[in-house]
Amino acid sequence: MRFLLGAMVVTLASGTMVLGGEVSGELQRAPWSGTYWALKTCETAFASWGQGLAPFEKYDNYVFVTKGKNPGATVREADPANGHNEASLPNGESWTGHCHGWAPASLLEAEPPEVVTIKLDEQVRFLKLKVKNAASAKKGISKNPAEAYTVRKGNPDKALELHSADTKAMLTEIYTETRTHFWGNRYDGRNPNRTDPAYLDIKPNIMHQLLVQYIKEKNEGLVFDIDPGYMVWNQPVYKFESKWTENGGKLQVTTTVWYADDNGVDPNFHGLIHKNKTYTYTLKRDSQGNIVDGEWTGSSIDDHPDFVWHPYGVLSGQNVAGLELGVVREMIAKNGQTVAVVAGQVREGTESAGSDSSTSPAGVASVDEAAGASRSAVRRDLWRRREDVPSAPSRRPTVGETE
Amino acid sequence: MSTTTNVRLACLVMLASFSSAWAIGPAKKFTPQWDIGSSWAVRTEYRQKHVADATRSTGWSEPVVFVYRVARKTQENGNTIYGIIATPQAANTGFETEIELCLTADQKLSVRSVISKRPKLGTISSDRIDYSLPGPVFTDNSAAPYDSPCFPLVKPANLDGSNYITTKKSVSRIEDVGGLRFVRLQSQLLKPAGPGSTYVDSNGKPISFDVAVDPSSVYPVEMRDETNGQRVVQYWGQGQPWFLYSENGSTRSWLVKQ
Repeated sequence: MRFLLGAMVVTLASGTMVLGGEVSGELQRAPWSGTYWALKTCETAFASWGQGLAPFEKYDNYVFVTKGKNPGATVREADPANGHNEASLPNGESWTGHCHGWAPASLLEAEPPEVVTIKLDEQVRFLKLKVKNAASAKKGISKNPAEAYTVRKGNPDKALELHSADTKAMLTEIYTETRTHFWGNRYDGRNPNRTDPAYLDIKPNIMHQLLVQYIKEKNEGLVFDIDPGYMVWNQPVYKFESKWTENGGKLQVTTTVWYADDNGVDPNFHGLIHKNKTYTYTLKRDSQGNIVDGEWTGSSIDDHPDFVWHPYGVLSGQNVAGLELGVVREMIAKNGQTVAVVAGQVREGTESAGSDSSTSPAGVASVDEAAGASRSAVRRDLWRRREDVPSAPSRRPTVGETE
Repeated sequence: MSTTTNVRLACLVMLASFSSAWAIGPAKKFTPQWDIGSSWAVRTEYRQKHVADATRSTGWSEPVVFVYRVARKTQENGNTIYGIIATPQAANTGFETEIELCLTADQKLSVRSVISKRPKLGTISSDRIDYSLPGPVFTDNSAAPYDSPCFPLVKPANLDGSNYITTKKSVSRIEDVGGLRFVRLQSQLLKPAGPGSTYVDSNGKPISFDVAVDPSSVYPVEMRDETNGQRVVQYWGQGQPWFLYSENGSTRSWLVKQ
């Protein structure tokens, strides 16, 4: 028999009779906080945390500059037809976003450095989406990606700087395609309904087991949809503490879970902002004393996890923007290193290394052509194109831009 | 990193309400058989219920194709042990599931252990789960599905909708949760097929197989975890190495024609 903390816990060694008990678990590494990248603002394609470039524009530029091909991630993300830009939707809700990508990314990927600086061996002018804001992006804009980019104004750059917001946006997008195992049904009703099994689940005995089996025993994080209603707030749970007492043949359990937060968090935040929630429930025994069922109690009846999932990771499957995990890992690994520029160079005395979209310049189509060419051939090609570049190409209205 | 889940199965095998079906007629039996080196492919799609967009949340992901390969076949105390390794068809993903099945001397076949590997935090994470008794097994902590009933599946020749064969096993999984014992009640049920060659998913919607099979050789199986409500709907085919179709609440999968 053991007594813990003032005899609150009294457990017989056989484990067959329990008057009270406790269990807790915590991952060896906590997840990182970030934002859920709301679809309503589409900041992945339109907000900047340095160099006047959005996170996915930095991805596009890294691939273009180092591999000679613009992957067009930004324009795909910006295209309302692809479902990640709801800025122009009159009924778009502010809670919808990428939390189903952020939560697994924060559990399965190490937090990127606050700043990743990739030095370039030549000056370049970066590409930028022509459309200036999310609400202006027209459906179908990504069908012709070569028309969607222009060359950014201002001085040429000698480095690409990625901040927390940039790398976390990329990882979050990629992990929207994580494969998962689910427990519990999703409830989509607008009002509480205590007669609907989808509202009442996930059952607390299942949640209790999962916390112990995954977080305590496997050191594996879980994701809770923390909102029992129609909204979905996927939160990575990394710690729990559970205590119970026996009362009338039932166990009265109080469990607190800790999770990384993404609601209202600065996208450029580095580290962990945690929240916690406390649930109460009963666990029911069968005649042999085994736990076979459970019920939420008190306020937890209307405020318990809607469903729980365990992320396996990214096996394959194209995310909306077409970002590749290997490329993002490569970018992070290049921190402080100098990479060779194969496209987008600026020579002294020139105005721009890119060109006007109307002449099939440094956008997707033209760089596709250049991808297989030698570095010198690419440079010659860019020099030749530059002759056709108008002085202010970025201000010419084109498809997808509203002025 | 390696985690071992010691699934201590103190089992009460309450075998089975072999209902009146035994008296109906001569039984057909099916147990899959494998040789070292044989392989097959399974196409798997994943639930999307965590996606905020309600129109997508009811759908399925893009498919992942897994290649299953029989890596070993050994003898152990009168039992035959098969080691089957499932990996995504895409190269260098870091995902691998090793499924160990045990064919006992009395010809009962079921999954005995599973080792799942996957990338996590820059390394390959490994997790082992042991299943100590012959019985239905539900996929846990593996991207590649391995839900499997206990074989052989037995089907009387004239089985119809009024005659089910039920094999129920009650499993007491003892977990060290401050002394709490959690029980999982799991069962497998051989179901009659629909009229003709009509096969349905867990919602009763018609499905088709990638692999052509004789309807009389199809074994529809339903497995249930009565503790958490999980339901697995499967179809196995005589002579086929793996399920023809399987749906487990998180995934749906087809044996791919090769």
